[in-house]
Amino acid sequence: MTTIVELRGIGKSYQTTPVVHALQPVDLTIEAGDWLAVVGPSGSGKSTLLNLLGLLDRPTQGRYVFAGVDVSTLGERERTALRGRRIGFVFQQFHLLPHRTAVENVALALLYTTPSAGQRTTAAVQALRRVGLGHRLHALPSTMSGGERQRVAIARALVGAPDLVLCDEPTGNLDSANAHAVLDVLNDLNADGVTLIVITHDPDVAARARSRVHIRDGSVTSADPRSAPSATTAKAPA
Amino acid sequence: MTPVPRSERAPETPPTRLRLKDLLAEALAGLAQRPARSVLTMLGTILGVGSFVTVLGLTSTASGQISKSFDLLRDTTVTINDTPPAGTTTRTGQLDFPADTDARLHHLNGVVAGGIWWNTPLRNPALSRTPDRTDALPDDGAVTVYAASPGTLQAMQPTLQSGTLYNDFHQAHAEHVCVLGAAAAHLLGITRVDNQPAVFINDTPYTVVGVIDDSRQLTQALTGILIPSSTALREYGPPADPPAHALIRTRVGAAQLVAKQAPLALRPNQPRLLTAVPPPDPHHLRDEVGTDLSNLFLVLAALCLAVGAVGIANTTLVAVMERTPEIGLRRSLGARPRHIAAQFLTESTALGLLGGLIGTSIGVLAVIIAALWENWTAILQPASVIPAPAIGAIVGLLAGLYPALRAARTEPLDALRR
Ligand SMILES: Nc1ncnc2c1ncn2[C@@H]1O[C@H](COP(=O)(O)OP(=O)(O)OP(=O)(O)O)[C@@H](O)[C@H]1O
Ligand SMILES: [Mg+2]
Repeated sequence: MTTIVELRGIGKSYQTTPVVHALQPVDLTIEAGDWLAVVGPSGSGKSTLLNLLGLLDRPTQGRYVFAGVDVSTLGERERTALRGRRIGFVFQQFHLLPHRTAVENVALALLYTTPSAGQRTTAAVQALRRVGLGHRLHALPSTMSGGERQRVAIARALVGAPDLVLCDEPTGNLDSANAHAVLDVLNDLNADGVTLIVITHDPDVAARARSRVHIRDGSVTSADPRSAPSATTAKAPA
Repeated sequence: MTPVPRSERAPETPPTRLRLKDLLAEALAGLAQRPARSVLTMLGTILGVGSFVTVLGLTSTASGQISKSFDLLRDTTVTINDTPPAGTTTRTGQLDFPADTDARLHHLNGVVAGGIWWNTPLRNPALSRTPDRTDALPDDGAVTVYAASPGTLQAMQPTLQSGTLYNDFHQAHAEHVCVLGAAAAHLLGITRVDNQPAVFINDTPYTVVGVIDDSRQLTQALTGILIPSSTALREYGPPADPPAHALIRTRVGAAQLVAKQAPLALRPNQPRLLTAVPPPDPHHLRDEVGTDLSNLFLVLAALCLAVGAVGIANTTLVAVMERTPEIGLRRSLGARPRHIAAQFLTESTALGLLGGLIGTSIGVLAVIIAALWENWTAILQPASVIPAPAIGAIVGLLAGLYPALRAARTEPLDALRR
């Protein structure tokens, strides 16, 4: 089993007055094929952790090894390359482009990595079928339900076959029926071997994950019996 | 345990890139999604480039019109007066043209024909067909006797009704010959010359060699009698007042040069005794008409372009701020800052180019309609029409620089948090 994410004492503080320790130093290891839920109250540092994991932000301390590469030493170009080719994002606000169809929105994820427009479209159609939207390929976001939009966003996150998919409150804006559909999709993806990290308030969402970490006031603790309290390690079941 | 080579542990992740074709498609999609705004944004550029093309087109059309209507005849005619240039020496009171004026002029480059002429100093000459003055014309001065060298006759470009013109032979021998203007011939009752009729000037007979119907220059001679200048000089003395003139016909475009050279060629030691009158320089004429108005309009066009640039810059900046989440999304999908900058720069440049193209079309159309209206020939200089859309594109490019830079500097994190 390969290790996708290895955090060693990663922390983030904002040099405001007073200094905000958005994330206390944390150790975390995530194996390929895992599904980790990060649970915590608002303002606890969940998004901060996710942004660090997704290379959208730089830590103020610690070491981050992503898929065997120490990314703390990388320049912006290499970080962008990893972000674009090996990490998928699902946001709470979907972030779909309003004037583009489902296929076009999904294909956008390959714009900076795949030169052939034909290949991009083919892959986008496949990804949409995979999340159960084969019948809504050319729909505009404005004509879709929240659940459908989030599934388009999930298709966009997975179309590039990333090593890791990061979801920030994927069901935060959805009613329970739509949330269920989205969770089913995530379940299927994980069953297919996609590594997932999902941030959530929702105990139902957390319950679906293989492992959980809790975060409060920037400190990662664990209510998960399989993890040690200080150095949280989520392991995939054998 | 041997250390695993880095390349095996962590396969290199190639940098992300954006192909030109995709860049253009993304930029155009960005514009097409907000068509109304795109058109409004282009308005300044359309007006600026449009007025630029219109002003230059109208200017060239109008000056083309001037040069067309500009008399080709006058354009090839140089007159030399036997008067010193104003403010120098006074007139000598004698004939300052040399006897071989015709030949000297003929040797000048660009001269087709040229010679001297003057009003003979005869006061009310008796003019009749017979020696006894019984049928003499009334002395009302209706018919003037002109001294004119053969070169002058050539330069007049006369149309012969009958007979011929007198020539260098008659001039050299100061022969008593004459050419009649059609009106004078009519008054004298001369209808044909093949019977060698004569006209008596103060009882001196002159053989009529030809009658001219019409001429392009010196049209006053149509009511007069033309005799060789050598004959006139011997019989009646040098011109009194008005003084003598030289009439020169030049090749097209040579008039200005001939006017400069002729006085020196005729009087190498005292060229200042003579004044050459060239035709008005057509270039001057064109420039005078062109400058005043078109300068004003070009300033207006530049103003429109500046307003257009501000418009594009403003809209692009608003678009950058509106689309901050999109920028964040693209960054998360692998877009590098330069890809983001290129996209917004391409959008603003495309806006400018499109505005330039529309403005150019409108400008060309305006010039054509104005020309049709005035019954002119529309003249559009390729040098002013072809680069016009590029001006729009440059305006768009410059206007997009700052917004594109702002977009590129947007942190993905800040962008996504919106
Ligand atoms: N740019 C910043 N400057 C200062 N403090 C910040 C900044 N960004 C985040 N924080 C602080 O860091 C802490 C963690 O924020 P974070 O967004 O990670 O919380 P969260 O767990 O995602 O909350 P929510 O559930 O509401 O999204 C918060 O107290 C927040 O105010
Ligand atoms: Mg958050």
